[in-house]
Parts: sequence; C-alpha cells; structure tokens
Amino acid sequence: MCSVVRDEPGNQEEGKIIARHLVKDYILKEKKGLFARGQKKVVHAVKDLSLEIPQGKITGVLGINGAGKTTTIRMLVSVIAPTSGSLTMNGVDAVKNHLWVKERINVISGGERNLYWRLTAKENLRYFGSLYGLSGASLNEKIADLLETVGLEEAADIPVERYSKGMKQRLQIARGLINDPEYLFMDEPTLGLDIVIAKEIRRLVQELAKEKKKGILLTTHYIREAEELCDYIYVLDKGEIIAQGTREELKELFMYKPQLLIQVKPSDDQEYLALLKEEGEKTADEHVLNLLMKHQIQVEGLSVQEPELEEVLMKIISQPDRRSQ
Amino acid sequence: MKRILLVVRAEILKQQKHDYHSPFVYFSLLVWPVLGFLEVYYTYKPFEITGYMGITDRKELLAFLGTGFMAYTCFWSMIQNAWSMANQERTGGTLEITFLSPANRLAMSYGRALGALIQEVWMFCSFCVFILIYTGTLSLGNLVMLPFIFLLLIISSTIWGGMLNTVFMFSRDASIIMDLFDMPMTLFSGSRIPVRCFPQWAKVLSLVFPLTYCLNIIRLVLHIQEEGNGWAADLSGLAVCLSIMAAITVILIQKVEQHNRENGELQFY
Repeated sequence: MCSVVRDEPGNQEEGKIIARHLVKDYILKEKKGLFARGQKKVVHAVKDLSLEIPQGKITGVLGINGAGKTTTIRMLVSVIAPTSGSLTMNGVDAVKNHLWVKERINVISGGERNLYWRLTAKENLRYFGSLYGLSGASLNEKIADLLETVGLEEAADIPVERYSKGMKQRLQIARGLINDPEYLFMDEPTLGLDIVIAKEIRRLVQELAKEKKKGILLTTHYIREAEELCDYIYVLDKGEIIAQGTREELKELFMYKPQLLIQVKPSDDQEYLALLKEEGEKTADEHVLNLLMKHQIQVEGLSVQEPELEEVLMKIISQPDRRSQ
Repeated sequence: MKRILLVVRAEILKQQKHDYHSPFVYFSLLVWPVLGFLEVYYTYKPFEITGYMGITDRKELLAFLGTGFMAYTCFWSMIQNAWSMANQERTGGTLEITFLSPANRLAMSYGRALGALIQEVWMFCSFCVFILIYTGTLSLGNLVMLPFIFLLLIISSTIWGGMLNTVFMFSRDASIIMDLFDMPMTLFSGSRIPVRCFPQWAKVLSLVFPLTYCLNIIRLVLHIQEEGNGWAADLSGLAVCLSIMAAITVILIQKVEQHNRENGELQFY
C-alpha cells in the first residue's frame, strides 16, 4: 500500500476525481526518409479539459473517434501524465502519487484485447488479483463472486480464446472489479456487442454506481447509451469539451428527436406525400399516424432512427453561443 | 515483501500456463537443447585435441561444451521468454494493463524472466547428470554442490534477464539490444571457447557478463576445466557484476515508467 501526503483536501474534493485544465501534448517525429532527421511536431491530444467524477455517479464522455476520449481516460488513470493542469483523487495529487491512485482505480475497455487468451477466466483473474496483492482464500472468494456477477461461472475453466465477444467483455468487467476500485473507467464497454449483451452490461454499470457507490467514467459514442446511463455528460471534440451538463440539459442542447420512419405501399406514395405537403413538414408523428388512418393509407413498416453522433456534434459546433467551457 | 513475492509468483505461473499448455511444448523442451548441444559438439569434433586450451581429451571437451551450453541456455531462455512474452503482451494490450496496477515493477520484470523456470530446471538437471555420468566425475561431493550451482545460475540469469526485459519495455524495437548483448556473451563468456584463448581486450570484455563468472565457478566446482581466479574471486566478481545490473534495472524501470507516462508507448505494438 502506498502512502501519500495529502495537500489538505477540502470537503469538496473528497469522494471525487477532479481534473482542472488538463492538457496532453504528444511530440511526434515526422521523418521523410529512413536516414532523414525527423522534424518534431506537437500534437494536442487534449486541450484544457476540466471535469469531475463523483463517487456513486456515472459521468459520461461523449465523442466521435479521435475526440480524445481514450487519451483523457489514460490521463485520469495515471497511465500517462498530463503535460499541464492538475488532477486530484479524493484530494490527493494524482499526478505525483500515481501508484496510490492505481490501487483505487481500474479500467474496462471495449474490444477483445487486455486479456490472456490462453489462460482461463479464473487464471486471468488470479493473475490480475495478485498484481493488487490479493492471494489465497480471499482471492478465490473474490474470483467466485465476480464470475457469478458477470455470469461466467460455467465458463470459468475454459480458455478465453474459446469465448464469444460478449463473454470476453464480461470477463473484462470482472477483471476491472478485481481490486474493488473506488473509481472505474469504462472505455466504450459496449462497443460491437449485440443488443442483449449491451443491455446487460448497461444494467451492471448502473448497479455498480448506484448500489456499490463507485465513481464511473463512461466513454461512448452512442448518444442513447450516454442518456440512459449518465448523470452528467461531457461532450468532447478534437480534445476539448464543447458541451456539458446533466442528461436533461444536454437533451435540450442536442436538439434532436429520433426520427420516425413510416413506410407505406408504393401505390399510396403520391397520396401520402400530398397529405404531408398539405399539413406542413413539421407535423408531429402522432398527427401523421392519425392522418394515415383517417385516409386509410396502410402502413407497411415503422421504425425509429437515431441521429448519428457526428450530426449532433456538428449542430453543437455550429452554435458557438451554446458551447459550454 | 509478501506483495513482491506474490507478483513474482503470479508472473511465473502466468507464463507457465501461457507457454506450457501442450505435450508438444514439453517434447520440444526435451529435444531442442539436445539437438543444440549436439550441433555445438560436432562442430568441434573434427578438430584435433592438442591440449592448447587446457582440454586434453574428448570427454573433457564434452564436459566443457556441455556446461557452457547448459549455462548459456539458462541465460538465453530467461531473455527469450521475457522478450517473447513482452511482444505478446504488447499485441494483446495486457502490457499497459499490468502497468495500470500498482504492482512492483521490479518484481514484474524478474517474474517475467523467471517464466522460463521449467526450462531451466530441465536443462540443468539433464545436462548436469549427463555430464557427470559421462565424464565419470559423479561423486557425492559433486552432487552436494549441484543445488548451489543451480541457485547460482538461477539468480544470475534472472538478474540478467530482468535487466534486458526492462529494456524491452522501453520500445517495441528494443529487441536489437538482445542481439547486441547475446552474441558477445556467447562468444566472450567462455561458453564455447575458453576465455584464456582470447586477447587481453576480449578478456576484459568477458568480465562484463555474469555468465563468465558462473561458468568459471561451475567448472571449478565440477572439476571440469579450471579457469578463472579461484572461486572466491569469481564469486566476488559475480556479486559486483550482478549488483551493478540490479542497480541499472532499478534505474531503467523508473525511466520506462517516466518515458511511458510522457509518451504512452506501452500501447503500441
């Protein structure tokens, strides 16, 4: 266990991670030939990022690919150090005391990496548990509990290489919980999973925050997922926060409504279009449906289409006065 | 201390389970050292034995090459295992995940080197017994010394392997370092050619490698080809050499962590 000197944290700093004006610059060397002298180029991965992750809440970071979500997480978990800015966990300087921080956090990433495929679930968890100083009966008990939580008891002794994508993701969650972290960082945990498993994982995330009081930071590029899970959301684009707020506040800011797609018979197409023209383009969905029923136009299919995150971000970016710093 | 031992143990077990998962692996473990040794032995066989290098007959040559091959393979397997695992960990994304934990980095490095433990035990047992029986030097005195020799080899090769393993963590391209250290070690440490045959500069260079001292001590203890300056001088030389390597490893580990925290390169593969 690492000991740290606290910089007299105030009550406001207890029970949360606070990042203030974090900046991460990478220096890249660009070479034009094998023996050419590389030219240094500074890449601003994260620019002036301030956020808070309170315990018992789910904080969302929403952004498209390349927005800086993963760099942000890697900085918050002390794998990489910020170029400037301050980062505290429960009032302790997390940049100086990164090993102390690592006792209290863990990361769960989407995808199939970060596990030893030739080892079984139990062997993976035993190894990762040992890295946190766990051993013997208490570790075995912990492993059994976690495997039950993620529903992998039956597959506990099967090598990970034989697992499905969903099973690997569930094992990742168990691995992320092996040290009973106070804060959990989930980097697109439902990426590429089918609806049923993604829903199951979302339920587990909610349980961890509400019942186990863990501070969770969730990155995603699914707006619906962020809305469903997160108490507070930061929207990131090109390394900076372009909007933030509670899910209710952001709903207004996102200004989107899922689109209802109505499919009618090809023979009714013209009549349907004429009706819409008559009623105006901004007719409410329920009114459109009533109209169709009234004119006995048969509906062949109904579906709801979510807007792409890129579209929503473009809307926010195009409204400078709505950008929140 | 308990946490450090836990990490070392976990690293050894992880690699054993990762690498030794099929009967073919054990079969290869049995076959390749024998083939490797035969290749070395038959390379020298056509040449006439003149006693120039202090080796007077074929049995002595076999014992000389056998101890050299066995000790070198112990050192080599520690590095090879660590290097191959480091590559797989980079690709699998687990390298950064292990650095996400607060586990003692030195213990991780030495534990990864010790992943070759099964291989080392097998190499040591089979070669020592074979050499002692073949050369007719199997005696109670020799047998009593075997655990001491084994310990000497394990400690030395772990510290050597741990240092190079730490270098591999700097960058995915650091494997060039393995070649830079491995070839000179094979040539100058006396594993195949007695150090006394070398010019002065090469004799000085041989002092850099812990394998040189290990081989001197092993051959002295087993009465094979007594080279070096006596066991006390060699043991002291080895202790100094290993201490310097352990110190370099500690400094390198701090640099690796600092380097990675600045550049985030542990995730590259």
